[in-house]
Amino acid sequence: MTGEPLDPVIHVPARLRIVATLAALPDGAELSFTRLQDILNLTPGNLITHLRKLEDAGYVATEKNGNGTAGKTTVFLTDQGRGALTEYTKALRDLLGDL
Amino acid sequence: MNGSPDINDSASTSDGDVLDVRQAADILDRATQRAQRQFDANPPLLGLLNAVIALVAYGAVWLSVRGQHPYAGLHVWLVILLALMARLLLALCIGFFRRATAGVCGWSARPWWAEVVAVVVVLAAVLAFMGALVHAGAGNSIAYGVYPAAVPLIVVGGALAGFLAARADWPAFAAALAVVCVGAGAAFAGPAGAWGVAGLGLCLAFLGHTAATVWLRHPKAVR
Repeated sequence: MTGEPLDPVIHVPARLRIVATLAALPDGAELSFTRLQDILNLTPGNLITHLRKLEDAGYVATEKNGNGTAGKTTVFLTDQGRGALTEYTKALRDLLGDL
Repeated sequence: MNGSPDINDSASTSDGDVLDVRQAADILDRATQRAQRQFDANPPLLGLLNAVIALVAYGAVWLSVRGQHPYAGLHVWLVILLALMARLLLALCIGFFRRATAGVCGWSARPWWAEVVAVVVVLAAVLAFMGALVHAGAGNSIAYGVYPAAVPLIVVGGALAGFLAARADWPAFAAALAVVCVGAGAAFAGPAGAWGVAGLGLCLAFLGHTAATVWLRHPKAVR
């Protein structure tokens, strides 16, 4: 076997989809929580749980704009998260090449 | 080879799932492609609609003026039809743009609006210049023929080429340059022929860009 072990933070279906979706945004752009939820078709609780794990790893960051019901939470991939996805993709390619 | 899972071939996710490497690659590819489609403000469908609208609009003008000797210009009903088609095109572009950018914010989303404002101002200036040509006594074949058929393509295509080069969107940049070339070519086709050349050229430019986009976009993230 060659290559690094797969990053366990990303190597979960829901979190892999979250990171891949945020990586498709233009540089510097942020995505609202509700749009991310629509795209991924996840429940709010499920999405929050996975985002928290990604946030704890420093891969995504969230920002709360405004207060109360009008407040909007946005999510974006950090540079560390982008790098982690690049490494993860490279590791996947290496593993697939070995299979 | 004893059938036990390899640590690198599959991994426990600590969430109760065990994700195979191939499954992970498939999920990553599909999620990436789906996200790219979601955030795509210029999808292939819009390119095809643009091609059809350009061919129908410019083609209708060409059919109506090709038999004019001397050249008189567009009938009022045709101007209304063109205005309606421009409105339809604008509505389609805005609709696709809103869909792609819904929920997207951040500084990188702002230049899109600056580009739209710049194109609107450029188009207004082109129309104002057409009024100046009429005011200066230019003939119908120039003021209502060659100029409105060719110059908007050259000016707007050139402005778009600049924006697209700044974004390093090379397929769209090539399409914008093609539009400039179509405009320059149409200018030599005479007052009636200019509309036909512009319509056919625009249609081909949109189709070419759409084909290039489909060919180049959505590359597999992993395989």
